[in-house]
Amino acid sequence: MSKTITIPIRGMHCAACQSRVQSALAGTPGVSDASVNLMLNSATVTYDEPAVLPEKLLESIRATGYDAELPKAEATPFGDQASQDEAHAAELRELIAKTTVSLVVAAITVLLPMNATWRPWVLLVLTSVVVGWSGRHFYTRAWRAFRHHTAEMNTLIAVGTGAAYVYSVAATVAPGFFLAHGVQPELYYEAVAAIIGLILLGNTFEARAKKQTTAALRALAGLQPKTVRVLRDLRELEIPIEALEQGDIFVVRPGERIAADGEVVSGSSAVDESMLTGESMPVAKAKGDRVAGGTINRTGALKARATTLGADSALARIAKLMRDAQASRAPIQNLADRVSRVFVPVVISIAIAVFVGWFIVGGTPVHALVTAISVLIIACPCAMGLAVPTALMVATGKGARLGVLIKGGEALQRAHEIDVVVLDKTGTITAGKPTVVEVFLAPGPEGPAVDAGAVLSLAAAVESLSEHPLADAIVRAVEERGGPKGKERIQVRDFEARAGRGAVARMVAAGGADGKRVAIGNATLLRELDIDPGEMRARATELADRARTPVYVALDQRVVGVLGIADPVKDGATEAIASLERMGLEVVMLTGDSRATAHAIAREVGIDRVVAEVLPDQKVEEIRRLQAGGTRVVAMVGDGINDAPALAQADVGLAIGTGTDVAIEAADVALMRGDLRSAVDAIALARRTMRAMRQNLFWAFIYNVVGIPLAAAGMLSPVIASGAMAFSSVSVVGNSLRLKR
Amino acid sequence: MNTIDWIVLAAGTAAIAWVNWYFFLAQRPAARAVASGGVQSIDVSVKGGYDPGVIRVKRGTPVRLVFDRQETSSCSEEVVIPAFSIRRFLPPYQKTAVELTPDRSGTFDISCGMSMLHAKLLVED
Repeated sequence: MSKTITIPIRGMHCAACQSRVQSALAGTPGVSDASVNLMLNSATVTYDEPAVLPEKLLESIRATGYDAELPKAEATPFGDQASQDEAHAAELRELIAKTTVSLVVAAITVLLPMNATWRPWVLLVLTSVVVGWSGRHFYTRAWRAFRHHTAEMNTLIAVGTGAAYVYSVAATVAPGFFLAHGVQPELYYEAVAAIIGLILLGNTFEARAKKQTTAALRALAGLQPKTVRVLRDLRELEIPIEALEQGDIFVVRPGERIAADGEVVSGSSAVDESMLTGESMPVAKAKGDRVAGGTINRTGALKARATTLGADSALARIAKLMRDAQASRAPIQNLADRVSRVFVPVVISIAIAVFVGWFIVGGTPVHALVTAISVLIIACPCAMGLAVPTALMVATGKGARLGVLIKGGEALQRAHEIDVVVLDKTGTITAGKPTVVEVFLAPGPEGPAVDAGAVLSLAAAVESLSEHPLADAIVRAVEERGGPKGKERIQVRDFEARAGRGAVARMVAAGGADGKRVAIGNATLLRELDIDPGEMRARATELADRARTPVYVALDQRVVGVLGIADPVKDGATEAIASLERMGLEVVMLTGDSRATAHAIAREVGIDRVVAEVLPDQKVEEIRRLQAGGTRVVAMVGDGINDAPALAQADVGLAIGTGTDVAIEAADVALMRGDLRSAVDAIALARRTMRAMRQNLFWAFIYNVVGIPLAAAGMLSPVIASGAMAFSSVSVVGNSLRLKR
Repeated sequence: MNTIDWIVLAAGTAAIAWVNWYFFLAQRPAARAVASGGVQSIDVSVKGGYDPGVIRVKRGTPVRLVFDRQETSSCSEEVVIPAFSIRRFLPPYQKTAVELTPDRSGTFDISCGMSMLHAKLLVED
C-alpha cells in the first residue's frame, strides 16, 4: 500500500544537505518519491508499506548525519480536547457579546414612547442590528442547511423571527397598504429582538453548562506535568516532558507529581494514586514497583526508569478511554434520533396548518401569523439532542473520579439492566494473596512454650529460604508485625524443602554449634519425622473446616504451634455483596477452588449461590447458562487477564484490578480501585444515569408535546415561547449535571 | 369560506406538501469516492450540512472521508457514523480524515453529533 509521510528533519542548513538527504531517501528500496524541503526542514516521502517501514526511512536520513523523528502518529486525547475547548471558548465569548446587544436592544424597544411618529423607524434600525449581527448566524446556518435539504433548530428560529421581522418592516414602510385592506399595521420588532436575545441567552447558559460536562477530562489533562527531571551523566536536568525517552531515569521529590509511567529503581515512598484509581489510601512504592504519571509522590524521593510514554501512558489511556466513552452512543438515544430527523419539517408543516386554520376561522391575518410564529419558536429539537449525550458525559466523568471507567453508552445502558452479578473468588472477593490469618500455640505444662511472635519468627527463619507461595505468606506475616527481617532473623542451616509436605532446617546455636531442628509443614511431614501433633491435631482440623490451610511448626519432636493460612477476604467485600443484594441483584460466586474453600468464603461474605471447581474454560459455559438464553442480564466481575473470556461472554464485564495495572481494555467497565465496592458504585451510577437520561428525554418530549399545541391554540406569545424554548435545553443539561453529585 | 380563504388553504396545503417533499424526498447529489493506492478517498465539505450528501463506495476497500469543516457553528462540530462506531470532533476550518473499511453493503447514516445534519454512505458490492 502506498503511503505518504512528512518527516521533520533537524540540522539541515544548506542545499547540499538537502540533496544528500533527498538522494538517500530516494535510494531506499520501496520509496517511490522523496522531496526534501529546506525551508520547512522536512521530507515528504511516498513509500510502499510494508516493503519499507517509516523506521527504515529514519535510518536512511540518520545515515546522512541528520536527525529525524517520526511525527506523532495520533493526536493525544488531551490535544484533541484542548482544541475543542479553544473552539468552545471563542464561541462562548461571541455568544455573550451577541446576547448582551440583543437584550439591551429589546429593553430599549420596550422603553420607547408609544405614540412618537419616529418610533417605527428607530425600532427598524435597532432591530436590524440584532437581526443582522446578533442573530445573523441563525439565518446563515439555516440557509446552508436548507441547501443540503436539511432543517434544524436554526431553521425554526430563522423562519419564525424572519417572518415577524419582514412583516414589521413592511408595516413600517407601507402602513397604508395594510390599512387599505382593513388590517392594523402592528409592529413586532420588540418580539424579534426579545426572541433572539432570549434564545442567545439560553445558548450561552447551555454552552457554559456543556463545558462542565467535560470537566473531568480536563482535570485528567491537568494531571500531566509539563517538565521532568532526568538523570543524565550523573546530573539532574529539567527537560520538557516530550523530550523524555523510554529508559530515562527520572527523579521525583516528595510532594511532586510523578511525570511519567515508570519502574522504581531506588528510593521508597507512599504515592497518592487517587486521581487515577479513586483509591484514597496512598500506596507504598519501593524498588521494582511501578508508578504512574500524574500521581503524587508523598513522602520519600524516588528514582524511576521511564517505561510507557505519551499516548501509551496510563494517564493517556484512561483519558482516551474516557473520551471514547463520552463520544459513544447509548441505544436509548435511537428514539430521540428518529424524532429529531423528522422534527423540523413536521413543525414547519404544523405552523403552516396553524396559519391557514386561524386565517380561515376568523382570526386576523396578523393573529394567524403570530400564532404560527409561536409554534415555530417554541418547538425545540435541541433538548432532545442533548438529553442522552450530556448525561453520558457527566456520568463517565463521575465514574472516573470514583475509579470506575465505563467503556461507553452501550455498556452503561446494559449495566443498569443487570439481573445477576457473578463474582470470581480469587482476586475479586479475596485478596488473591495467601496470608497468615490465625496462630494457635501448643499448651505446655507451664503455658505455651513460646509466644505467637516467636512461632512466626521460627517459621519465617526457615521459610525465608523456601520458594513456596505459603512460605511467602509466613515471611510477610513476620515483617508486617514488625518482626526480625533479613540478617536479624534466627539463623538456620541445613535447609531442606520437602515437596508437598513442608521444609526442615536446623537452628544455629551460639558459637555456631547445631541448635534445635525446626520443621514446618503439614500432617504428612510430622508423620515422616515421627512427631505427634497431640492436641494441635484438633486445631488443625478446625482450621481446615474453615477453609484455612493448617501449617504445623515443630521444634525437635514437639509441635509448638499451628498457623492458619488463607486468602483473606478483601476489605469491603462483605459490605459490597450486601449492597448488591439490597439492589435486588442475585450474587453468584464462580471459582476454580475446591467446594470446601469456596463455601467457607461464601459463608463469610454472605453469598448463597456458589459454583465451585470450575475450570477457566468452563466459566464461559457457566455464564452462558446463567444468561438463560438471553433472558437475564449477567455481569461478571473478575481480573481482566485470567477471566477475560468469561468477562467477554457476560453481558457486562467488569475488570477489577489494583491501581493503573488493571486491564482496562479487556472489559466494559474497569474498576481501578480493586475494591468490590466500586462494582456497586458502577452499577449504581449506571442506574442513576439511565434515570437521568429517561427524565431528560421525557421532559424534552413532553415540552414539545405540550408546548406546540398551546402555541397553536394561540395561548403563548412568541416571546414567552422563545423563553421556554431557550430554557428547555438548559434544564436538560442542568439535570445531567446533577449526576456529578 | 370566501375565495381568499380557499386560496390560503390551497397555498398552505401546497406549502406543506413542498416542505415534506423538499426535506424528505428530494434527491440529494451523490458522489463516488475516488480509489487510488488501495484507498477510496473523498472530500466532504461541512457547512450547515454535508456535501456531497450521498457518498458511494465499494465494499471491502478502505474508505477515507476527509471532512472539511468550513464553519464554527457547533451543530456540525462532531461527525457520527454509528454503524462503524465512529464519532469524531471536527476542528473548524480544518480537514479531518475519518477512515473505515465497509465490510458489508447497504446504506449507512452519517450525521452530526445531535443527529440534525445527515448524509448517507452507500456501500455497493
